[in-house]
Amino acid sequence: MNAADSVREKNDFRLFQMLYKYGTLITILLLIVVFGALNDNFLSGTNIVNILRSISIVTIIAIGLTVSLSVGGFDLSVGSVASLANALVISMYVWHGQSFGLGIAVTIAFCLIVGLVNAFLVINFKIQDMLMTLATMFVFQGVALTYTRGATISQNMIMPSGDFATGEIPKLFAKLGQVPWIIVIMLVIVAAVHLFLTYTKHGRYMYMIGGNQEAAKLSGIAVGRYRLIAYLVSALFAAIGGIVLGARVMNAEVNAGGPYLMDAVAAAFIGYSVFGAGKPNAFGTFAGAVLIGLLSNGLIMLSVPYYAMDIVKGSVLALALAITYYKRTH
Amino acid sequence: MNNKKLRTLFASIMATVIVATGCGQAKDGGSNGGNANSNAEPAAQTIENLPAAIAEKDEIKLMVIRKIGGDDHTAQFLAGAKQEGEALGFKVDTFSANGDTAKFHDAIAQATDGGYDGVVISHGDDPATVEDVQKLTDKGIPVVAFDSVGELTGIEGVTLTSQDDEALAQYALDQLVKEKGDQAKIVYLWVDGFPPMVRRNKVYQDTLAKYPGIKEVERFGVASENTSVETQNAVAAMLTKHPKGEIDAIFATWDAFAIGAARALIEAGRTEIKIYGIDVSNADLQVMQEENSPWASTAAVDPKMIGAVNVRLLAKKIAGEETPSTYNLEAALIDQETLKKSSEPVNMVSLADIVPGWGTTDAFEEDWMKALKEANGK
Repeated sequence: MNAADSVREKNDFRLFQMLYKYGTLITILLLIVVFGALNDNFLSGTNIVNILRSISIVTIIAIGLTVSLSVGGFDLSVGSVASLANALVISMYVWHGQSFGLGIAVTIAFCLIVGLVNAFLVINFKIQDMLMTLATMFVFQGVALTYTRGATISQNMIMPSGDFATGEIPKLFAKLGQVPWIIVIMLVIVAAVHLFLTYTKHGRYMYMIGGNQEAAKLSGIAVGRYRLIAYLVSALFAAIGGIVLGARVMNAEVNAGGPYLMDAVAAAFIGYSVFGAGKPNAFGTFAGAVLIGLLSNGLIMLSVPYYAMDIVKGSVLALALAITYYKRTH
Repeated sequence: MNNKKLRTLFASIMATVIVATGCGQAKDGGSNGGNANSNAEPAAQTIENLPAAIAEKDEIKLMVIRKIGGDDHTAQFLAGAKQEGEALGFKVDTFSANGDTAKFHDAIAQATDGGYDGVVISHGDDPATVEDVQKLTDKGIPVVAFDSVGELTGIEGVTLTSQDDEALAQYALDQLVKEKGDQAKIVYLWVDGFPPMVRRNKVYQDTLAKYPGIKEVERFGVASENTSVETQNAVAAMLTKHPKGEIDAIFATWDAFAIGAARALIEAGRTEIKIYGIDVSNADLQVMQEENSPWASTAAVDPKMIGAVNVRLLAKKIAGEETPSTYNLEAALIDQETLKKSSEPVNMVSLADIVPGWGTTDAFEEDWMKALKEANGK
């Protein structure tokens, strides 16, 4: 009897272990099967492209967030940085008539400075990451708003002086926001960060810092430097996300990046459980974003009203977190 | 010990606050006086027929409070109000609550005690707005509201302005029926809960009843911070669900919907589907002018003009003149054909050269206002 019990327990445990490891992926597969069965067009090539395109910006921003999570940080300012990048890059073209490369270079350079500010505040004042970046989130949001004077930036817009903006958005820039490039950029970023975090020394150091900062410090890792790098990378990807957003919509609406924060957080946290990693990881984040994207797309195809969609999205996030934390405490 | 420290701290903070606010007020008074000398007095001397209520005030301060924000329409509306007010020599403060209802009511409460001579309220779509406005009028502060709850007309002395939503929806739908026929299969982009949206929906329902052949294939609508991109993704999904030939047109009751839908149609190469929208902004005009743009027409009222007319009404109230309790701002239809005729890219200013009557109205522009504007050098 005892033996039987332990066998069953073992089986239970293995089942759970499997569920934990592959739960998110199984959910994704199930969703694909269900939506595919209910609607013929769901699995068409164009729809898969649609889904990948719709998640690309969230994924890019979420990958930045993942890197900040890997060192035990939490960069809440990614949405604001994306807004800022969106406003900067479009204004570089429309207001200042800059070339394709210069516009992007200036935008990224400025956003890296923003990353530096974040890192400086978090590391030097030893304020909890989430609190500090919450504050800077508001600051950068305000900076973006002030810069655009609270208006949408678009071609031929009327400037406060009464003149028209004469700059044009380069054709090449528009390509960044179109298939296939928007998807390629996302996949390259996911792959690069995945390889970096899992297979390089630096990536492992980052995970060590995230696991136990004190221990990492005692074993001689330059904790401060890695956290600085993490925040720079986070700002960099938020900037790229904002640039790609600008290329997709070809204008800069007020606070356009803000709404991406919550989806990015959801994607990164769902990603914790993918393959049983139990920690932030780039592939998991991508899977989390795919899950969210699949849900929104599939539910629209089934003509589910939008207000019910958030219920489903939130429930899936709760489920993913339940799996992750159940494992951690048992 | 500790307690004492706290008390000292508290006392010093209080002292600072009192000094700061006291100073602020003193300064305010000073600058008001200064302004009055340089601005209002010479104006008062030269302008005939200037209503006494306006002439005797040193400086007139207006507050414009808008609930929604973040869109081009808001920026233009506020700019229009500010421009008109400043042309008349008033001081105009503007505030957008960015869709936050609580912030919106806080701002009105603040304005009630802020020493303003008049308040413009935009998009006060909840019952609490009625109470707020009642408080304002009780204090003798005149109020003009735009696109707000209908109950406001029940309060003495309030003017409720709105875009002529019936006309807007009718223009867009007439154009749709004209171009796509009375058997069109359409997607309806609409969101419930806003007074203008409710009015637009009524026209839509009437149109469906009038043309039973028109079939609504799908509907979607979400008013969030990210409306246009969410609409874009939603329309992209609809397009895969309904292959070519199953959708003829999209009726978008708001330009944020239309711009998202337009991007989705362009991305999917389905520009055979045409969009008939409501409202316009500079970004919208750019999309409409793109090659192969599916956005066929949009019905709109110039948001800058809305702001200006609201300020004029408010000025009339301050002057003690008669004002109506409701006013509908005139709508116009902007179609792609007309835009394409222009050799230069069209924007919100040059639109006036193309659409007759766009952006200009003499509604409520009294002679004394014109004189006041001249005297102020604008």
